[in-house]
Amino acid sequence: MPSEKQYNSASAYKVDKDEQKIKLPLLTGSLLLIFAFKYLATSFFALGRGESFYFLTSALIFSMVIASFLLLRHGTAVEIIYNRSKYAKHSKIPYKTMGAVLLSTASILSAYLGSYSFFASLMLGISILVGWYMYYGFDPYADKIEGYESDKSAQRIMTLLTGANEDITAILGYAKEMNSSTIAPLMKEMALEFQKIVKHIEDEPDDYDKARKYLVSYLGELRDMSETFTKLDANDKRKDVEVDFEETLREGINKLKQQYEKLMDDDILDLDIKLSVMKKRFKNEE
Amino acid sequence: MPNWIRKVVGFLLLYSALLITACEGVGSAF
Repeated sequence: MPSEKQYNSASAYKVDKDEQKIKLPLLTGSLLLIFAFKYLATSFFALGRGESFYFLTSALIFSMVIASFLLLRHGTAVEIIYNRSKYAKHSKIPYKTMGAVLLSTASILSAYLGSYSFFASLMLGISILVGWYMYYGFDPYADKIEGYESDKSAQRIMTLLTGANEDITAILGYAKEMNSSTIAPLMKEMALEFQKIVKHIEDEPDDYDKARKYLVSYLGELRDMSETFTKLDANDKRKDVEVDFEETLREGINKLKQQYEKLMDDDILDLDIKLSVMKKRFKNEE
Repeated sequence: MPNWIRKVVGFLLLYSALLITACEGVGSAF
């Protein structure tokens, strides 16, 4: 199965990194292949009989059914990401719906060229569309951005979080490659601290502005530094900068911890205010 | 409508229509 990154439109807002691979049910849409095979066989028979028109139409219908099968599988994979993500942008290309329309058109063509009237063929096509809608469903058509002020702010914040998550994954990757036993755990710790902040923003997008500086400039710079240091480490030239880098990392971790606590304190303050207001209101009721 | 009924009806509708088309559709005379 392809990785999630290939499904850009659905993963544009992707922030949930728990699942790296999409596991599609193996049999999704596989019955369609039986029908596709039938049309393939028909086209061979037609070829054997020298019926070039039927050969071409059967081959066309065969490819339409195969395309519909592929669209269904791709669309389902995109939908799985969409359903799993807390926030997601709907796919711009309606894969499943396109698959349904294609299959329905192929069937209308097949029925009409066979022994059905136009009306009967149309009815068969419509039942396929309706059946598809009920069984497989069409694509999700709305963005999942609950809790955000607007589409634009969601986009802005999600872009930031997706970028931050990428940086964090990169830093964790560098930490794994690292030979230095002092720097590697520090880098890992720092990445985990950043992750805590990202998680917090996911839950409370309103705090975005407070954490922006950390997630944009600091994280990016630390990623670059980690990359450079990993290169030096691989060439055994790390000695000169190791102490400085270690200090920077320790300081960074402390600052991140403080920042995270500050974000949490703000929540406490917020709740405190709400509680006192509520108490006053109750008092006034007496 | 419960989801499973919807799925069963949808499945029957989709695949019976496909089956009918495949049996009597293009090339059925061969």
